[in-house]
Order: sequence, then structure tokens, then C-alpha cells
Amino acid sequence: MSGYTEALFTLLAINCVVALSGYMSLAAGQLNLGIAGFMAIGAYVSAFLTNNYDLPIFLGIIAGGAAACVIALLLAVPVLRTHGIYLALATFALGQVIQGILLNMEVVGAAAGYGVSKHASFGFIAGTALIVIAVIFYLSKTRFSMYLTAVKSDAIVSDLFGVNVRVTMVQAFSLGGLLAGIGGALYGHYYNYLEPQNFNILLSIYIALYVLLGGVQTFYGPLVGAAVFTLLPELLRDSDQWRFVVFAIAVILVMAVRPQGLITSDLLRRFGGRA
Amino acid sequence: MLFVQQIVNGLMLGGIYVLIAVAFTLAIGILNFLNFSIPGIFMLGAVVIWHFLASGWPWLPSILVGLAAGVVASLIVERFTYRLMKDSEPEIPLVSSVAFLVLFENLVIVKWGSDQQRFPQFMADFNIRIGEIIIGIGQLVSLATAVILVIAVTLLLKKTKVGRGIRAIGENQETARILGVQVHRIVPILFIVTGLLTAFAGLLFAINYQQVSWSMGDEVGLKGIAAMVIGGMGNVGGAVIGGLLIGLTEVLSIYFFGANMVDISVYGLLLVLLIFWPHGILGSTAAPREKL
Amino acid sequence: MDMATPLLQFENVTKRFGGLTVITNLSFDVRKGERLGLIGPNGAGKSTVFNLITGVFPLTSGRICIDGVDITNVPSRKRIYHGVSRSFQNIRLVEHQTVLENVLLGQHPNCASLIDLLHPGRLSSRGRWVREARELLEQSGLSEYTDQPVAALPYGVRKRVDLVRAVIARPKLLLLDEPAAGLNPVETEALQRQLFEIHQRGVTLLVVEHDMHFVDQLCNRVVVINFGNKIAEGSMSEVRNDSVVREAYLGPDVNCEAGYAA
Repeated sequence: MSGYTEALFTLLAINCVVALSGYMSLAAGQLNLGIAGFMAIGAYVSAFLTNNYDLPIFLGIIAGGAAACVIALLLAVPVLRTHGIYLALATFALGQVIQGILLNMEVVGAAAGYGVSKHASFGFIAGTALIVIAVIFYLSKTRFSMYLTAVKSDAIVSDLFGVNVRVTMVQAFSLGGLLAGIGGALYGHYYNYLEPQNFNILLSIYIALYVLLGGVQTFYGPLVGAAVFTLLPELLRDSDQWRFVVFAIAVILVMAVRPQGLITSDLLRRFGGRA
Repeated sequence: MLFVQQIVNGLMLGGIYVLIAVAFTLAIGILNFLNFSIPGIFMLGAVVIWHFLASGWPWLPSILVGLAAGVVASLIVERFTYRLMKDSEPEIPLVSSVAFLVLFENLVIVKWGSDQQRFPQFMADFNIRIGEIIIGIGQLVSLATAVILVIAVTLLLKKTKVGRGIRAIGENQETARILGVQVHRIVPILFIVTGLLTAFAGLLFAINYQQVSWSMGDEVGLKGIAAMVIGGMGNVGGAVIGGLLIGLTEVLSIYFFGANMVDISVYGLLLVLLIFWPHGILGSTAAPREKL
Repeated sequence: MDMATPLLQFENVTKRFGGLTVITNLSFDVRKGERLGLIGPNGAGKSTVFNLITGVFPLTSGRICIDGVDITNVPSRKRIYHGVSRSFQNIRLVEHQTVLENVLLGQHPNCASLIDLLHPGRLSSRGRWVREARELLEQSGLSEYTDQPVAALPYGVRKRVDLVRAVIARPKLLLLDEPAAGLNPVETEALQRQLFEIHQRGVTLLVVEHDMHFVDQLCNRVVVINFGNKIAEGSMSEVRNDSVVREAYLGPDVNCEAGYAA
């Protein structure tokens, strides 16, 4: 595989992990506009531990994911007191605060950036991504994922059937944080350089947009969204920036005519097999 | 007296935030629409004005074209976002408006590159001194313009037929329609007002800080959301208070803690507000009850 | 289970929303094995009664007991564990999911353990819960719709799916919110049969309904409320001729009209 193709598929693998992180939250009805913040936590924690304590990469990634998960868990309780638009805004503010804190943390380079010494190969990243995809696929076949959909669709009815809506939301949010942390750590170990400016609102926005573009009714939607977002530039080789213009227009059009996203439960049913 | 100087600076910056916050708060209050494209229009207005100035056009036509660009952009958002999705959950038009923000930013990058650009000086460097405090003429004009525009909007809402129609739509769109309000004509007017206020805010920012960039929406415009929330969503008076407070918070934060702490201060405040006082200073505390 | 204790005790319940008093000192019982109808003119407060029983709204004063246990302060989420389940007037199913997936939600109170939560068998046809849901759907005559998305189904079918979801929770007390609304005579009859069957299996029914003929056929007793007050109680024939009830439905002049048989 050529260097360029390998880099592209590595990015695809990372984006798939991140897309599933967005899926967790959005499947429960939470528009998380601070997801880049959790990626940053995972990236920096893993980088720091592998740089300073000579941890092997896979442990760094686990630590990064765990750190993001724990912080998501702690923040979920107050933040999930908000709903809908308020929740979107609260997560947006959260992402900005995390970025702001990292911009000031000298121990990890602050605004100047932070080098990550250990490099993860394409094979390692693809392997990790496949494991994550397999785990989330499994999860999508359990009652847990059905409750996420139920809570998103009608929280009051779910509550009346005994589902603990608060706990379900916190679980979804924390799982989302965990996956975002893993994705961020993978990113850090591939590009070997981290800057807080990269984990900004635009990154969270792009993630939310391509997950929604793909559709959150099924497990496959976010992966399709990640693929579209990552591979679209291949059709527009020459101009890098036009790809975002095309992507934005695609999102606007899809949201206008098919807000459930490209892949829906119905579509999956038509092509055989169950959603 | 440097501290008081900072207060003055904060109020001037606050004036710009007021305009953006009013735009946000009108959309939320009247249409239940969190219009994330507003920071994009803020940037677009400023960049378009810069472009024509840089091409040699005089001030007035450049400003008019820039404001027109803001209005057009806002109407496009109305057509492709709000109008199509107002009956679904409020998050769907929000997502679309976010896509428009991305679209506007990237169109600007495609056309003009991603560098920050210098915005020419609007008027001579003229300062007023009151005791030890220096107030730039540019800052004063800025604040005065913001105040005038907000008063104009308030008068529009309170005294004109269009304004009454807008407020009726804010109460209940169906009822307004039944009562004869031409909803399909009035809603675009609201978006025109949004476009004007926001593009004007962009112009004022460009004049005061003498720079424009594709990311000024993310850096400045989004803080208008914090201002809106402090003041109470849907409340124009609240947006005024909120805008000024956020301007002050930003400037004082830089003064006491340094420029890197600004985001933590402003957005930390927003986060805390959303969790504990989401209704803000002047907003209502009534939570809508679901019908079973 | 003590047969003498009523299954539901609604004791001196008052509910105020801000300045508006919707339920005033309302008391009634539902005995085990009953099919009780809760009737009254529009706006009488019937839906509010359901919402108070399920815990969606807190009481302003009074008490609610299920099988002798005071559930007044039990959060809504836990009430299903006391045996209270309900169907909905406006159905409230997840449109893009299948009938089967919607019914699975109703099983939650019986399978809330971590193992059940993470068991992958949700969509495997051999899974225990899926089998139970399929069987119940078949018994209810809905097997042809089991794997179809709800969005495409006719109104009458969706109402029955809503009912199956409520029943699969194995409640002691089933609250039915206008189950016959919008159904044609054939569907109404099928519904009646389904409800009798459910009742046979030991579920007590509390029904809010406007279709008096339906109530007459299904219920053995009715409670009539108006403006949040109980105005009559008894069998359908007793209540039908009660002057206060007639006035509530038909207006104050009705009892002055000459010639109706008592």
C-alpha cells in the first residue's frame, strides 16, 4: 500500500472510532458538541504517559480512553441535567473549556504543542479500530442499545416501563467519552504531534455532522458517515478546501430531505437482515 | 485607573456581543431555533466588506454590499434550514445551521485563503480623554451604533405591525396564522433583521480590531451564545445585559489572567449557567410541561 | 395476596397545577379482578388521574396505594415494579422500529439485570425474551406484523401493539387510556376480546373511555368524575340514570324534561 493510501485508511480507521463515539451520544438523543474535548483528553493522557513513563502504546490508549471516560462520567451528572438545545450548548461550552485548559497546561506544551514519542502503525490502528467496531456492533444487538433508542425517542414512556433514563443517558455519554478518548489517543500516536488548537469546536462539529449524515438509527450509519467524510477528498483531489464546502452542502441537503440520515433501519430491512 | 479603562474597553466589546446576542435571542425566542449560522454571517459581513475595500471601493458601498451579503446569507439559511424543519425537533434545524456555518467559513477560505487580513482604518485615530480614561472614537461609534440598532429593533418589535406579528409568532405560530398573521412573510423579515444585526456586528468588530479572518465567527461570534444565555434566552433586554457582561468578562479576564484564559472564563461561565441557571437573568423559569 | 385489600386505592387526592385545581378530594378504589371504567365529560380530569397513578405528576395532597403499599412518593420509574402498566391515548411507539422491538421495551421490568441488558440475543430468534414477545404477539393475533416497522401500520394495529407492550410487563393493574378511540366496529370488537383475555389472565383493568357502549360491554363497574370530583359510582345501569351524571353530560336542563323512566 502506498504511503498516501495508508495514511488515508489510517485516518478512516480513526474516524470510524470517533464516529462510534458520536453515535453513542446521538443514539441517546444527545447532541455532543464537545466531543473534541474528550478526544483531546484521551490524546494528551496517552501521550503524556507514553512519553514520560515509557508505557507501551496499547496501555497508553487504554489509559487515555479511561481518563476521558471518567471525566465524561463525572461531568455527565451535572451536564445531563440539561436537555435538547441546552445540552448541545452545555457540551459545546465544555469542549471549549477543555481546549482552553489544555492551551494553558505547560506540562503538555500548552499552545506550542506537544510531541508524542511513540508511533502507532497503520496495522495497530486498524486493529484497534476493528476491535472497537466489533464491540460496538455487539452492543448494538443488546437490549442496552434498544433502551438508548427508546430513551431518545420517548423518555417518558421509557421511564414508565422502568428504564432509568438518567442512568441510561449517563452511560451513553460516558461510553461516548471513552470512545472519543481512544480515537484521540490513536490520532496522537499516529501523527506524533498534538496541538490544543486542533481539538476545537470545528472538529466537534465535523464529527457531529458526519455521524448525523450517516444516520443514527443503525450502527452502520455513523461508519458510512465517517467513510464519506474521510474519502470525499479523493473525488476532489486538487482542492483541499472544496471538500469541506461539498461536505457542508451535502449535510444541508440530506438534513433537508432525509433528516434521519443516509442509512436508516428501514433501508437496512429492505436489503435483507435486521437493523 | 487602568482597571476602569478595562471596564470601558469591556463595554465597547460588549456592544458587539450585544448585537450578536440579540440576533441569537430573537431566533430562539420567536422561532425556537438555535441559529448556529449567525457566527458565520458575522464573519461573512466583515470579510465581504474587507474584500471590496481592498479592491478599492469606497466605504459606504462596501458596507452596504457587506450588509446585503449578511442578509442574503441569512435568508438562504431561512430557506434551507428553518423553513423546512420547523416542525421537527429543534435539534434538526440546529444541525443544518451548523452546516451553514461550516459552509460559509470554507467558502471564505476557498476564495481568500486562511490568513488573517488587515482591515483598514475607518476614521482617524481620535481619542477622547475623560480624566485618565481614553476612549477611542471608533469604540464610541461602535457602542453608539449598537445601542441605536438595538433600540431600533425594540421599537420594531413593539410599535410596528410587523413587530406585533413577530411577537405573535413567538407566542404560538399556529394561533398567529389563524389570527391572520402572514407568517410566511414575517419570518423572513426576522431573518433579515438577524442578517443585518449580525453583519453589522462583524463590521464593528473589524473596525475596532482592524482584522478579519475566516475563523472570527468561531472566536468571537460564538461567545454571543454565552451572552444570550446569561441574559435569558428569548429576551432582548437580557441580550443587552448579557452582551455587556460577556464583553466585560472577556476584557477583565485578559487583564487579570492573561489572554489564554479568556475561553475558560467565558465558556466556563456559560457551562455553569446552563447547568444551574439556564433561564438566565431575565428569562422565564417556567418549564414546558409535556402532555400525555 | 390479600383479596380484601383493593388493588388501587385513590384516597382524598387533590391535584393543583399552579392556581388551577384539576382534581379535588377524589377517592375511589379498584378491586382486584375488576374491570373498572373511569368516565366523565371532556376535561373532567381522567387523564390527570392516570398521570397521578403512574407518577408523572406528584400529588398536591392525598394518597395512592397499590395492593396496600403506599406509592405516593415512589418515583414514576419504579411504579411499574408495583404492577402498574398503561397504554397511551396517542399510542407513543418508536416509529422506525419494528413491532417486535417496541414490544421488547415492555419487558424491561422483568429483565433489568445486567446480564439481560448485555445479552446479545435481542435479535436472535432463539433468545428467551424475543421468543416471549413473539408468542404474545401471536396470541394477540398480530404475528403478521411482528417484523414490520410501526410507521407503516394502520392505526388499529398500532393501538394493539401499544396494548401488547403494556401487557408484556406482566402488570397487576393495567391502565387503558381510551383504547377504543378511533377504532371501527370490527377493531373495537377485537379489542374487547383481547381485553377480556388479558383480564382472564388475572390482570385488573382500569379503563378511561368515551365510548359508553364499549364501557357498558367491558366494565363491571364505573366511576364517574366531573371537574375532578367523583359524582357517581356503581354499575353502568345505575349510573346511567343518575341525575347528577346526566346533568354533567347533557346540561342542567335535562332533568327538567318530562318523561324519562327512572
